[in-house]
Amino acid sequence: MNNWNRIWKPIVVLSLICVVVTGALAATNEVTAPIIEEATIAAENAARAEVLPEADSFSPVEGITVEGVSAVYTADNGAGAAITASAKGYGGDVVIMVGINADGNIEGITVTQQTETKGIGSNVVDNPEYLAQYSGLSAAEPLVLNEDVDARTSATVSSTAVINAVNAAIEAYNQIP
Amino acid sequence: MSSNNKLKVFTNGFLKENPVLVLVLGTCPTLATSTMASNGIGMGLAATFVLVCSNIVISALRKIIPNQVRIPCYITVIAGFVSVVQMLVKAFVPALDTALGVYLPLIVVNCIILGRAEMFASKNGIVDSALDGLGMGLGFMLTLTIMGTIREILGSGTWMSGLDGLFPFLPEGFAIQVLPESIDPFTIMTSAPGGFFIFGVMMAAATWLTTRPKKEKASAPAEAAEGGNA
Repeated sequence: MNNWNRIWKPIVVLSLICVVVTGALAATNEVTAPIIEEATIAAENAARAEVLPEADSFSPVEGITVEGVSAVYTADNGAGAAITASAKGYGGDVVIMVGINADGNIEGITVTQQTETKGIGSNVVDNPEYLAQYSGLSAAEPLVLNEDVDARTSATVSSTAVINAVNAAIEAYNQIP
Repeated sequence: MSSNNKLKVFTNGFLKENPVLVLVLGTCPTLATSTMASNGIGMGLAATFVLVCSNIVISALRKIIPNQVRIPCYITVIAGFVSVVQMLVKAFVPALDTALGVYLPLIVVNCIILGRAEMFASKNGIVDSALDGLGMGLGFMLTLTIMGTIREILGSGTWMSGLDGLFPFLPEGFAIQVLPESIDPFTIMTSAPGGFFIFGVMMAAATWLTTRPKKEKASAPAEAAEGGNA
């Protein structure tokens, strides 16, 4: 009996708690996983539509491997491509969506995920006016900071992250068959 | 316990045993999420929910959990609740998930929750533990919101920006401009050094408020001693 309390009871209780908690997690996941997946796809499609408003629907392009590029989609009506790419910023990865139209020019870019410093890096990644300077640039060649686009004073790291991600997207765009 | 004592359990977390300013628990999420007042509200709400749930469960299981493995048991229960909350928030309130970001899973390592499980819920009944969790959580939220208000107004010149992520009925881009835009904000306030500075000032204020001699109540010192950690 002494052994039960000292050795076996802790093992049994902890195992039971773990089993119950795992069961609860599995049940919750069963319910929420499809909803989360649906919401993610809807959010991504909304972001794609934002950078490439002329497109009606998108389908994925397989087989393109460029560092930092996570998804390449082309518009089904030939309006262009929407590419998700990321690059290291000051506070973590900056994920952006680049829309490139049928003429090979950048239609628009949006930042979909970022953790840059509020008040410094956020002036770049959270600033539609700053991001708007990418619109209309040619996606034939990689862009150069302070030539094609201006860096934001005191936020060079965040500015560099954005242009690196855009250049990764450009590289991926030029590999689309 | 009399209803007077229940009230005391509930209000302890606001000032006298404020988890952040007096017990100095959960300082990492405090510094990280107090850059904006709205972040503080969101983090405070999520932490309060987990704190109440985990306090209730741990209090209910306090006679079953053996002493040797109590910490792993608490952590498992807390981590389970946080993961469930995270999945539910992701599925049904995606805007809140975007607003809270990485801080939601970080509630697992928030010392306030483990601290209250160890200090309070493992020794008291279910109702008291729930009240303690609610009071501590609201005290945490209050502290974060006040700290976020100071840092946001000084550091960004706005107040409550980003609140539309928490409450979808607010217009998008909601923010109250406090300082005129012609004044350059003190950007340092939104980064870590400013956070430590405001944290220190608020701790000093809380210490002053709790320890200053009371003029009329002669029994005040005895009361304070009674309310301390048992």
